[in-house]
Amino acid sequence: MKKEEELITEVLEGHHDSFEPLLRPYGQGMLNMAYRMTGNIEEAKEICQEAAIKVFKYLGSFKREKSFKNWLYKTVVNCSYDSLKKNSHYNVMIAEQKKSFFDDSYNPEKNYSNLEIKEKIQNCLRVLSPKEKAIFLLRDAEGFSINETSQILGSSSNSIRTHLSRARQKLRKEFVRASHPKNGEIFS
Amino acid sequence: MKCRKVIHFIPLFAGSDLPAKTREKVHGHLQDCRSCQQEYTEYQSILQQTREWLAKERKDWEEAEWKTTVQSAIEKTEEKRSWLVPWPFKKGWAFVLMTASAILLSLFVLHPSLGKDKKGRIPFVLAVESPPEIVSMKLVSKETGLKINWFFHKDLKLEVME
Repeated sequence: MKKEEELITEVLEGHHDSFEPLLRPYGQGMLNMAYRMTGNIEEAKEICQEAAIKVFKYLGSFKREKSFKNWLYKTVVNCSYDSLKKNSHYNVMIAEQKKSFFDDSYNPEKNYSNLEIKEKIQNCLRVLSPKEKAIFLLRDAEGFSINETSQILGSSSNSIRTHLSRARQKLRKEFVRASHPKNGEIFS
Repeated sequence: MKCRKVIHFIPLFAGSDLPAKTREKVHGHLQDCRSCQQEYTEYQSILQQTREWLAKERKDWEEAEWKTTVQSAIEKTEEKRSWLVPWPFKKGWAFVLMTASAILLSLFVLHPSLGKDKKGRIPFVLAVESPPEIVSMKLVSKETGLKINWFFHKDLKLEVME
């Protein structure tokens, strides 16, 4: 199996067949990142294609001493931001968020079912700002470190920590809110 | 470190995202404070379940769809690039220009007299006219009908004729 470095050189020399093996290890990650940012699988696939176009176009300007994976994720996140702006999904999601659901099964020690966790995480992602969402997903879904996340998003580590902390607080609030709805919310 | 400050750090402490020094301080506080420890346990449980779910529930490409996506990304970029290249540098135009230049060059090599008249001069070279040697001016009187012709030579000599 060829190394990433060799594949980049081959693509730059005009061997287009090497582009697919270059992206393949990150294909699933790209798709999931875009999907969780937008909440729409078709839109996520379009974002991935847009990111692939940008990577192919600007591969010549990629600095070899930096991480290709980080650069690729940065492109995916930026394309997701553009898509969110274009489709105004963020506002729609916030509006949908107001349609609350009731769940009386909250218990900190409890292991939730997949469906419960899915619902809570999806609700949480809806209330996060695009930047908080990107940071939360890069750290907690894709497993990037704080330093890597700060490199991808071009922000300081402290700023990343602040946003991540806020995102996790919202996640917890979502878990609690779902179990203790405000008076009247049950009947709305 | 006080509870108020520790609670601020707990979301990051639960995910092992604090710098070493702060982590130690928070860890020290949690050893003695039951309410903060409860808060930490709660965050840790939520975060762990979230991470597990996010790792497990992942979408993936169908093989054919993935290949089409990457291939069409290459094709779209190439298409855009070909439009961006100015016309003399496009492959087709470059070929036409090179062929035309080669034909013209070979004609001049095979027939060196091409485009010259019988004396070997190139007929289409523009002749440069020399400046006029004399400039004249005529003055006519309306009342008497007298005509005066002024001639200026190139050496600035004035000649008046009646």
